[in-house]
Amino acid sequence: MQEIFEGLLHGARLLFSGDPEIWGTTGRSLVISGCATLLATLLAVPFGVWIAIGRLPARRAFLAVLYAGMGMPTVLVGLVLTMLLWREGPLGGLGILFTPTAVVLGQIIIAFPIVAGLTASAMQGIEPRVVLQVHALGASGVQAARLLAFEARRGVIVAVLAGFGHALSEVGAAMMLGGNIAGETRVLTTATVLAARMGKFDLAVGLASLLLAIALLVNGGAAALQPKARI
Amino acid sequence: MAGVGLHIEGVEVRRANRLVLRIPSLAIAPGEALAVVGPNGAGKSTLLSVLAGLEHPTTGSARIADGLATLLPARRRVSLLPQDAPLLSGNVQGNVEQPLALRGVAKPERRSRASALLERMGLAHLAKRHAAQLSGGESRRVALARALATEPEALLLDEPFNGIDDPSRELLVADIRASVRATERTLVLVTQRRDEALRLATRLAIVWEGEIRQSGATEEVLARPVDPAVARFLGMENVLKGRVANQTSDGVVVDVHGVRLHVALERPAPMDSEVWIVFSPEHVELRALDDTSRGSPRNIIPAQVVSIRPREGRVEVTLQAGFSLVAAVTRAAVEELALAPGVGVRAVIKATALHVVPA
Repeated sequence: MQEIFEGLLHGARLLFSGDPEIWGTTGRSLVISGCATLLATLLAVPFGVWIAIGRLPARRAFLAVLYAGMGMPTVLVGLVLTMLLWREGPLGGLGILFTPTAVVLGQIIIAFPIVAGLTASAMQGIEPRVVLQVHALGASGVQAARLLAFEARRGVIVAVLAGFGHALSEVGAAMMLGGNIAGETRVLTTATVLAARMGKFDLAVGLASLLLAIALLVNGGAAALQPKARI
Repeated sequence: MAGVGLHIEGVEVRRANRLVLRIPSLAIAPGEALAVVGPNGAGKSTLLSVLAGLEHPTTGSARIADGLATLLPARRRVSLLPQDAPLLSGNVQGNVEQPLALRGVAKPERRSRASALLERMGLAHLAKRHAAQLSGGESRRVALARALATEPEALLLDEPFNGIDDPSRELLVADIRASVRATERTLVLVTQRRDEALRLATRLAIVWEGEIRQSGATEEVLARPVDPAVARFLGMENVLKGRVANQTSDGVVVDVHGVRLHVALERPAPMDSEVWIVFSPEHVELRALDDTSRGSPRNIIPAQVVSIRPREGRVEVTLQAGFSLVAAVTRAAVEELALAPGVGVRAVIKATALHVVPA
């Protein structure tokens, strides 16, 4: 208990001391997870919209795969990508293993089903009469998708924030694909693991507190987007 | 701008193996005003969606002029106002501009066109208001303005007056009449109400269990339903089964439970054939028992009041005359005749008010 309390104090000190390594690791975490979320969003939002409103014969099967993907073990993503990107692997020629690019790639795969699944869910929540109305206005398929995504924008933004939160807090893929190289691929989660392994629990708790603060900010933003209770 | 013709050929719509619409053929001429009425779940909205090209029929096709209705260029020639047409996020001006934006109209032009339309419909004061802040009636009128923004060649309205108060309804009716008359655009109106059909349409189609049961000039269909079910739906609550007992020079005499009713008919029904007699409660006049004045009506039937209950602007009186009979009378008539359960009256019905349907 004492260690946790000291860790929280240490975390606060770290935050306000301007330690370049801590802020560097925090900034790297935000940039890597931010890039991964941005790229995942560009792919996953249109995919989620398509799954929800497109003429799809196996919509339920697609949704089942997406929802299963939302709970995909991050270490599995790390393992599969490591095998693909390993020097002798099929994508070894890219030479990106143990670089931030590999971590971004892993986090895209982790965030994609979350963003796409929650986007599809938000789109399916749109009332059928709104869907009919949009088509009745003379919208083409793409125009209808764009208008309906805008109508479901709260849910879509929450989907993106959830994807970002998941990418930021995952450790399995970041550790395996980035290798936790100081100053290069070390992010808040892998730095926390390392600190704990070295017995520096105050540092580990401090880093974890930073991660928690960012997660709270992100989820607070998501909560703020929800409509006010009507009852 | 004139209206556009809408055509349906051999259309069937099936959902989950259930037949929800079957229209072998339907043609709506350019500039024609057609009202579609029928009970809930009859397939009216589906018919409208097929006409607007928003529903792909399981078999058959719908055409807007010469183009397949489901193709975007044809679809954009008409405008469908769905039931409870929701407004999208944003303000009223943005909503009215939306269909123009979807057609690639430049922003300055769509702004001026939407503003002019809102001005013309007396909605300019709402232009900056958020859609969610409008009343039901305002919202419906804005939705109509949005449907008219592209100056469609046909306007398809799905129960546009549902759930709005009478003043708003009158404004909306006026808007629709103005928009149709000024442009001679084709109108298809789905409604549950006879008065709306009479005010806005020249032709009426009764949709029943996915099929067009009857179609023709509005007043003709309302006066002469093809069967008892349609008659009841159209408000002819008096549906009596009888047998043709006599043929006269201008019609027939039908025996209904021992009571003889004179019915004016252009073509007499065969003797002894079973028929339904249908007529509206509004066509039943009540007189006091001691009122022996005859006048022109051919049918004067002694009856006893069974129950009285208020109904929109009138009073519904259920009578027993050897068969059950419903009359719709004024409150003044109720007071004047001192109507109450058990009171005896004379029910007076003109022979021309009765309509015969073969059983």
